[in-house]
Amino acid sequence: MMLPRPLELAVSLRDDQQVKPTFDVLNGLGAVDENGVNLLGAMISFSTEYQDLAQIDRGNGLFRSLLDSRIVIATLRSLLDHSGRLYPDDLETLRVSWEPESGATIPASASGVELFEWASEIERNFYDRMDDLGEPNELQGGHTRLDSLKWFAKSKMLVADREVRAQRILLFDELQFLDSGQRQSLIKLVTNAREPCGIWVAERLDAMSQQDLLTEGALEKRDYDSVIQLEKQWSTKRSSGFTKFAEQIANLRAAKADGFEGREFFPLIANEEDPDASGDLYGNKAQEIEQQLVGKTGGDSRYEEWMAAARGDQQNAINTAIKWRSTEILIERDLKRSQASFAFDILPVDELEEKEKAVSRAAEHFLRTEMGTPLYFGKETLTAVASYNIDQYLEIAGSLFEEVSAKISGPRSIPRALSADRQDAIIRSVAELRWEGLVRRLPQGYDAKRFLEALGRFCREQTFRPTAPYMPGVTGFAISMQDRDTLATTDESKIKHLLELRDVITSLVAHNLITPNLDRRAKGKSYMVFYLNRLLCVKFGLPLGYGGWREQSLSTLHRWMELGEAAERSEKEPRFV
Amino acid sequence: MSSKPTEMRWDPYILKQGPEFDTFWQDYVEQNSRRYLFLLGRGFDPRALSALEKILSFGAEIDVWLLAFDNGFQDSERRIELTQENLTKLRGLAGVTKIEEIDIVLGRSGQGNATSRNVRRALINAGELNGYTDIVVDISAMPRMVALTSVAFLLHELDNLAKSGPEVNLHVTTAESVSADIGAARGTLRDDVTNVIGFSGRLGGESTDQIPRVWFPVLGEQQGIRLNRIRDSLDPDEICPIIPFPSREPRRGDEIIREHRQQLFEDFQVEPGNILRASEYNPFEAYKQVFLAMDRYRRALGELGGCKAFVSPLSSKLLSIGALLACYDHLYGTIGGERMSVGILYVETADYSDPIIDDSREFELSSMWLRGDWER
Repeated sequence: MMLPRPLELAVSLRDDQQVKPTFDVLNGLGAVDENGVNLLGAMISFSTEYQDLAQIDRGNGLFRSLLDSRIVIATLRSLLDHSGRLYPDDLETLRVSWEPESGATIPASASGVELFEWASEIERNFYDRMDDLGEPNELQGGHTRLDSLKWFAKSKMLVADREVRAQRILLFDELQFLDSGQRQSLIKLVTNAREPCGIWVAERLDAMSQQDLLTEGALEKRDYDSVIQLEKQWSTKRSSGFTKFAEQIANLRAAKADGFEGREFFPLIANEEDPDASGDLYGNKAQEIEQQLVGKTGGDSRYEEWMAAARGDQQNAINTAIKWRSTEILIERDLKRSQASFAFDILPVDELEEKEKAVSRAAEHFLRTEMGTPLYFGKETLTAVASYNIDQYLEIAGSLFEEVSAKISGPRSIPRALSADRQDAIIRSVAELRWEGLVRRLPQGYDAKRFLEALGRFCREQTFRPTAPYMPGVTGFAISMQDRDTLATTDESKIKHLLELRDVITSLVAHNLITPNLDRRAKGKSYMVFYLNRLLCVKFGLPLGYGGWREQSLSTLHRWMELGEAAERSEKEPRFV
Repeated sequence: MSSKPTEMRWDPYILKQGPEFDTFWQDYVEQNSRRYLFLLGRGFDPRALSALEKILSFGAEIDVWLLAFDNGFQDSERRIELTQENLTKLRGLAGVTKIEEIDIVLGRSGQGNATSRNVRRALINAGELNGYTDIVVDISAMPRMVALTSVAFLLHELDNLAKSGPEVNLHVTTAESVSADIGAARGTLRDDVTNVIGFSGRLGGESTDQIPRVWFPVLGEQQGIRLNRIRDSLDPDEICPIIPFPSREPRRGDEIIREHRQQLFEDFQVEPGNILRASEYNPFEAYKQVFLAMDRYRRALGELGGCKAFVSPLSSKLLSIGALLACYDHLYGTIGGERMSVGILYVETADYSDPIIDDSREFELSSMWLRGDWER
């Protein structure tokens, strides 16, 4: 978006209703105004070919050379785009001058053609080395600095003899494809350079080290403005626009799809389960709960009013069943408490209503799980299950869209909204696919899978306790900040027994399968909480709300990694002491 | 730029298949003072030992480099059992002391050309080649990227060795049946597109990204996902699909086109006239077809600033070797005029599903003599 062409597009289409909000935001940032584009962005996108270079490039000198050449070429391209000229045909119209430090190889003053030739020569040498089939010899040399940073930030740039005065920003994309040494080298060069231009770096989490992932903000503010982790950014209250943003994208994509024109996506997604489709299922379940409660309370007058309120419920069968399930949870809680306190007073209805609101979400989840009726459906679920990740959102929305669009038989047909049942089945199949691919994607795939299986089982056991003590359920675990320090910053030689666990947790964070939250406080202690990705919550049949977590020791987590689900089972089995 | 006319290195060629395989190797082995090095993959494929068994039966003394792959996944019990059976049989055939296991770590998604890099590194570290008169690479049980890298690297090494040292012969053997390859092809794919080391085609080059890219996917069955991934990564200007014809099953080429017709003609907008044919069972004929097709584009676009050619071997292993030779010859052979950049792009398999073993499936042994005495 910060490159000349998209910015130019935003300026020229600023009166279009779909583009105007984008223009306004860019205008507010100073990137564009009514007169045109005020930003000169040059983008360098990395690929895995840099990893081949790392095998022979001792000291990263060749990496810096190649990067210098690519920054120069990206700048030339950007200058021509910015001035509406053609790349590479109009390179002759460019001239760039700067004051090089001694040893710098970028020419002090050169035309676009000369600079292009300078950069091309570096690239040719790079490919000559890379495409040599023979034994790769380690090479030294290349550039000792990243001169192109200073060149980009401070040079005088002329297009057809007119100086370009736009603000400059260098954009580095896909850093995860670099070798770890190259990545560190680049970040160090960029942070130490302190050049007067914007520098934007984007990478996937899996490029980061355990220290990057398990600690936060070590260099923030001192060396750079901030790290924006997209999922975290969206999850803050201030940025609650994720739903709106994601829905906009889904609608725009649907509008562009062949044969879907003119229709809206979300009205074709049912937000409720059709009560008629389930027959007497819910009514029977309500009766079943009532009978169980009568048996459990033995006709105790203490619960008379609560039971009567449930019996008198006039809602549809689904809501009545949920009400009965809520009542059951509340009675379970009260039974547990009253056994200790010997309470005999009749519980009033108004107390029930208040408490019911708090447990109804858990009650509905319990009820649907027990009955095997759909759990995951509707617009809100679609947003929740995305875990604030737009790719994940589009993956799920795309699967639903596929089925919706398949039902469109002609230009004027209005298909029936996708049922809760089908949505639930589709979302679960997406979760299952993600689960199946997990071993393939993670470096310690089997360890990670076992760890998650144990975590999933643990969360289920905590969530589905009869009194539903954690609302809406447990979907995460926490470690103390002391344990966090042990994993993230302690010398490796001292935590050899924990290295595997550390790597598994790091890779789960890197692949967005668990999300860390630092400094959560409970009972006077600080914790680092890790929440399951919401798609994994679907896999384990857990609720999608955040909130519930339980502290775990590192030794328990280690056992999870080694034994998987069996670790949780063995906890419950009697042991000889 | 070379002023010499273009010459095709493997025209004529030596290819022995079926009954000729036996006759050729029997005569060959009976010649005196030969020292053989045999490279093969450690795998579950029951065809893996057929060529070695035959050549040993003619009395050859053979050292074996057994390439042991590790893709980071736990093997299924069935696969472990089949692999172990093959290994036990190999030990019985060649003798335990003659076998050297060479570990090769296969790359994972996001690791780029790691597989190809690791194969080259492993072969360099494995030992000297100049003590042998003949090196035989059996590609039957090798993943595609391992096979192509091994053959390309050894060809290059032995070509260089011959400039100042001994002439070492290089042969490629395989036991191949089309239906077995289709059966074994099931598995999950890596997310990224990789290239054989040495054949990048300078795909990521910023200074050359205006040069047209011509893509030659050598098509086989069930290649839709690979085709999409490579096309997205390459963004070609021209696509020339290559189908197997003539083929043992006369309609195979048509069936492959039918299977991929929506992708090819609707999504990729391939001109029907661009479809090329290459012999399924004669890799040297396939080499010739691919080489000439690439050369036509090289000559036609040479005046306009040149082009880059990319080949994707998505068909049988024999056809893949033919395609590799075409690329190798364009980079290292005698070319009249400017050379072009050549890339071999592929999407590797991340892990295979359990093999379906059908002992009744027929296969044929093929032997290609790539370099050495016959060229003199």
